[in-house]
Amino acid sequence: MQAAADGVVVGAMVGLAALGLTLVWAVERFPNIAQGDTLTLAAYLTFGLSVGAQLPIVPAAVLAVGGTTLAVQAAYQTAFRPLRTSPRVTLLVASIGVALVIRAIVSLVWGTRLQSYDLPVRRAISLGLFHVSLVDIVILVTVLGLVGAVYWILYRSRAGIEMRAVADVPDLARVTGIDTRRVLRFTWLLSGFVTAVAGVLLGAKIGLTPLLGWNLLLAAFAATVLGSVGHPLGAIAGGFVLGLAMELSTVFISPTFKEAIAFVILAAVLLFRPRGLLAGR
Amino acid sequence: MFTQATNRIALLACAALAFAGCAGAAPPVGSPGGGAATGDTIKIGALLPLTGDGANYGPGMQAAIQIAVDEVNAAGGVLGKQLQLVTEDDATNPDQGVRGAHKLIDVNKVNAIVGTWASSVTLAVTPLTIPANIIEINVSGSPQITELQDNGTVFRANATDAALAKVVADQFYRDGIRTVTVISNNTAGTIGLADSFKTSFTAAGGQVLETITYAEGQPSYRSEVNKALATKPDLFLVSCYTPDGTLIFKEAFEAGATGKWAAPAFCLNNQLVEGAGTEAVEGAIAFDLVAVKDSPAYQRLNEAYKAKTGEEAFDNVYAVHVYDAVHLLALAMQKAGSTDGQAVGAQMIEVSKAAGDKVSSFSEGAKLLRDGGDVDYDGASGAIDFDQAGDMAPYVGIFVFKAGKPELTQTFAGQ
Repeated sequence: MQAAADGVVVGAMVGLAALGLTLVWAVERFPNIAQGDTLTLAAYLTFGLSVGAQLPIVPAAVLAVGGTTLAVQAAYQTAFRPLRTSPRVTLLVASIGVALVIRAIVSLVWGTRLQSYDLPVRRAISLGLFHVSLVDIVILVTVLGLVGAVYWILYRSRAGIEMRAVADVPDLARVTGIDTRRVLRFTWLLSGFVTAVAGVLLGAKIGLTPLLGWNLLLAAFAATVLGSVGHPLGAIAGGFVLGLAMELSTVFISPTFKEAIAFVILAAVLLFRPRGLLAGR
Repeated sequence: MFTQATNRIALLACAALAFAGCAGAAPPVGSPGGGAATGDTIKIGALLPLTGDGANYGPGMQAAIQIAVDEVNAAGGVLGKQLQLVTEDDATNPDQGVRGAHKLIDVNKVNAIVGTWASSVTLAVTPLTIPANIIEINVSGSPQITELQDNGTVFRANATDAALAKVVADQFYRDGIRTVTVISNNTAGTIGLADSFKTSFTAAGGQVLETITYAEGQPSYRSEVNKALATKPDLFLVSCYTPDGTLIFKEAFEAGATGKWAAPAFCLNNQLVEGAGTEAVEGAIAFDLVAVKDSPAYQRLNEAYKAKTGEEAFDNVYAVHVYDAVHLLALAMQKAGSTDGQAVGAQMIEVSKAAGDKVSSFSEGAKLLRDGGDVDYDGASGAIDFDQAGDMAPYVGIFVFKAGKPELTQTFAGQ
């Protein structure tokens, strides 16, 4: 039971990171490598505002999310938008560049030592069969709330419907009068916001190093592909499947292999459902 | 929302992920260099963990190496030439370490490389330094480094994990600990420590109940922690680096863990306490090499180190060790009369062994050497006597954390 609970928490974090990835991937058709370092940036901004500028943690986190969202938008405007008509691989490489720039700035400003928010460490809360910490509960509630919000935006709001239209058939979307540029701007805004929230939570859970987000990127990629690229619910579901599989596997075999298990599952899913679990409309 | 094209991009992305970490293929190592130093300076390469798991130590090591180089230069340099320091970051990562070493050897043409910290980095870099015939001085622990076929050019300014583990295992057994569960990071250095501990502790009469190995860089280690807690040993030994160790101590505390915990001090340090919280490490035991506070070399280093970094050199034992390493290297070059790797290597053993007149600084030693004498450098980290394999036996200290501060409870002189 404890392993399952841990799996859900790990899955939630991976899923949230994957959600931001999949949104941009769907519309822009390239995986944004800078995603991992965006997570790191959000965590460090929170750290800087709460520990450095002595703000309470909640306003610091809100400001950090805002700041990171703006930074992502700035990266989009300067690095990605000018390459709009280039081959997708160019954008992919550009995103690696953005990732390195963010990481270098973070290292320069905050140093490379391990840091952490000033949060009290408490004994976990016991819920009968298993125990969870307060941070875990905050993570789960935020992830569920965020997924609900993203789902609503994508399927109920005009901006979301336009986004899906551009993702499906860009040319047709343009012909029908959708302002593609506005849609793209909105996509990057949404993706930046989701990623920033994930980064703040990740910092609270793990502690801060400049490689914080980078380390999670591979798992986020796996979750994205597992749940079908461009499918927001799929990204979250992929995250949960990976997290649960990794943690539950440790009950039976050595934890040394838990990362390998995640990729065995990914390989198996791709063999039998090459487009991911939730694909197939 | 899915097209054929995205599939291909996905593949590319995976490739990019794999290569972004090690972009820029390095050229092959040039012809064996070393030889006599060319130009007006002797170049020393510092390959340090400025980022990554060793980032707690790298910057301090850089400061200490610079202090040592400045001292040597102030005393007139080596063989009438000034030392010139070139620093590269190995990111505590073998890939990055190899790239840094290539640059130092091929571009900067250094005569020695000092400072590799993680065993995985040292083991990756020595295949470049050995054919290049330059001295490599590391502060790594893995016993594998002893066995390198290095023509006497690789030196370890640190205890082997085997020596460190033996001191600690024996002491735990004397303290009445009979069963231990080991939780170990899956890297060369940490696995080496875990294995060595098991060997020594078993030989002492104790029992290692289980060794749980984990991969670093994960968002949670709770499953590993739970598995360890279920074994209920007298003591948990965590063979970690600071980022993963922080998470393990925090999650063990959150999971309600009690009992005795121990970890090497290169993992269980002030940084870890900040991240995991004071309560989570209360009573935990840390062990590692320690500097010799009352030695003249330490006092000289500490004064300069405090001025440069604002910290005590005692809190960064690797800085102390690389400080001594630069001194030994400079003395050995002086004695060898050249910078040829094998010639200097042979003299590294000579200038460290107890037969000569004791000196504690380069200026004293260089004067004696110029007058044709023998020297034995006794440094800030102890007497330092390199054996034929390039290993030494430094001082080991055991600390206990009380209210978030490490208190030195025992010191063991190097044997």
